[in-house]
Amino acid sequence: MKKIVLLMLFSLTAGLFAEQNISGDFYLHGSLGDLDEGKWNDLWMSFEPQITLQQEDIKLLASGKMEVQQGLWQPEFDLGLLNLDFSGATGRWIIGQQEIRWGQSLALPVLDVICPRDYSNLFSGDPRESVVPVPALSWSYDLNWAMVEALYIFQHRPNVLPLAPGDSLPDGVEFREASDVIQGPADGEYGTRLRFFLPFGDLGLALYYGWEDTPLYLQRIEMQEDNAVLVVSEDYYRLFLSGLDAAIPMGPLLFRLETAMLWNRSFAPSDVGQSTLKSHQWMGLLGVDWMDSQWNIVTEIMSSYRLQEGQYVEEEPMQCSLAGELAYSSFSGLWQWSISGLFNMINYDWYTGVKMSHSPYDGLNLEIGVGIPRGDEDFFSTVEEDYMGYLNCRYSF
Amino acid sequence: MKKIWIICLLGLSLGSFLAADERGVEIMTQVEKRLESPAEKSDLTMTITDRRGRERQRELALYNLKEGEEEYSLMFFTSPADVAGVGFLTRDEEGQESNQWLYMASLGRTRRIASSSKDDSFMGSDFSYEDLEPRDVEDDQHEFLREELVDGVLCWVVESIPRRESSYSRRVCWVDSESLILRRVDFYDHNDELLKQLIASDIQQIQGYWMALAMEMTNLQRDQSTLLLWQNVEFPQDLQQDQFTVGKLEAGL
Repeated sequence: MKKIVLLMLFSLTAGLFAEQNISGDFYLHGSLGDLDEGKWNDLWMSFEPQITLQQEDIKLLASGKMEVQQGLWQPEFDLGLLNLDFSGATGRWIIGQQEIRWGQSLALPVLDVICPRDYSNLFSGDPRESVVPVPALSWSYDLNWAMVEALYIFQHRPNVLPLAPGDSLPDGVEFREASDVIQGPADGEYGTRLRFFLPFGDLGLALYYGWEDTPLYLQRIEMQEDNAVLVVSEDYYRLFLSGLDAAIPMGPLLFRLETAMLWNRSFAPSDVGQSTLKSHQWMGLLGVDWMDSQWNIVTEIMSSYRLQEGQYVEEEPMQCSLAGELAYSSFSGLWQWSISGLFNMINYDWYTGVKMSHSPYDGLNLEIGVGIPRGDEDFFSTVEEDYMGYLNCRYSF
Repeated sequence: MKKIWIICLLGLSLGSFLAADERGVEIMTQVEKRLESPAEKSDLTMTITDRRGRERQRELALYNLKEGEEEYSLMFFTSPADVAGVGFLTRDEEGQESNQWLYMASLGRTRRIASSSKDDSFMGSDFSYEDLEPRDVEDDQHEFLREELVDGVLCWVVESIPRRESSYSRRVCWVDSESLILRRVDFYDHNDELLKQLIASDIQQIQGYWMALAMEMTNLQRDQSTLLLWQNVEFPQDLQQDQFTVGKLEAGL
């Protein structure tokens, strides 16, 4: 399928573009993993070119990342964006690998579930690094005060996790990887959104029928040649989401709201031999921002509950997190400072990040930062030893 | 007799005040009704210089449309590369607060802007959102002060005191008597100290419309300035209201 899309894109664009604009990024990233030992344990360099070819309302966008990692001096190439963007009387069409962002959240996604995340790059200091583009056909139609959007994703992309799930299993446990969930066109992911841009604020309605980006792991005992073997199997499950979002300016503040219902969602069982548990899940987010030309304050609180036929399964919320960022920029971005944090109010795990960036010349940006995740139970516990300090250098041309 | 003199003096000063007031309103009404193209497309270079002489340059593509009392503006950063693609949409519709959206290209997200942010600096420059907003004659109380030559051109000097909430206590405007363009504006803060000074230059007639192709705003209290230079000015006939939408902001140039 991927090859067909690539061929389609190249044949469509061959000889089409007369005027070319070329821009790119050169990105150097390094991280210091353990401050106690004070040594570089993870250093890599990546080159990220981005090319835009444009003729009137047709645009071809391509980007990729060539990465060389310490101890593994063979360059790896990852295709980022590769899409054809066409605007005309029938609306705006984008076909190919693209980033799709939904909702109003800036830190704690509720509706922004279309693109998977690269959690191995979550604390690199650059939010662009964490969103993984998906191969899709998307369409939007502008109605002046409203916009209709529809999308079809023809290849499922999972989240990139810092640890491969099969790596940490003890000897004797068999791990079975999930097979590709999209076997035919009907297995794809679908989404539609209606957005209104009204004088008192923006409103959005969203529907999405796709696949979970994080797999569930089921454990069962199987008899193999008279031996009982614990089998851990990885599987992706369907996700059906309906939601709405709003951004309402009130005086100097902007209030952002998101709410979503995830219908009949699958959850991992706690015991060996059990199948997945199914229940509805409600998620809600409230954000309040204040922004001027130098200061930017973002706060968000997100909570979620499991529901069953209108009743709470659990009295306590399944998830409740608080996030915030305070950023200051001096003289058109010459210097920028920011401090951000995320606090899990259920198990008290947290993450905090401080960064400072300097742009001595237009196009050149140097960034130094520290990201400290701490946790015993959730995702932060798995990356606790990593991503302590980082140094980024980006040159755009 | 003393009473009569006082009444005469009061009458004279009141008469001259009203005359100055009327002339001020008349001049600012002419400025407001100055022949302007309803639609404009141009490239803008913004150079910000701080007190230490450090410069930052930004290039933007601008689209403006005026339909009766409604005004629309769409702008995109085109340079430098690290901010290219950032867009800003403003819709000033009749009877409504100005609605504004910012498109953050690096995040692929559009963000609604709270209206009171208009008092803040525009993109880190010395222009505030309020400076870029059109002002109606009724928004201020005007008084004609004097005539003055600026660069050999006769200018009418008019003082405007805002009637509604503003970041300034008053403005003093030098109106070019030929082109009706504001050649200079002095902005005073609420302590009546001179805060900013706008100087317009390179005034040209393009397709019958007068335009200042250079504007420099100096913040005298912060010793910082912003120079705006317009290039490739066009007045397209086919620019429509439906091109000033969030969809167009997200689609980019």
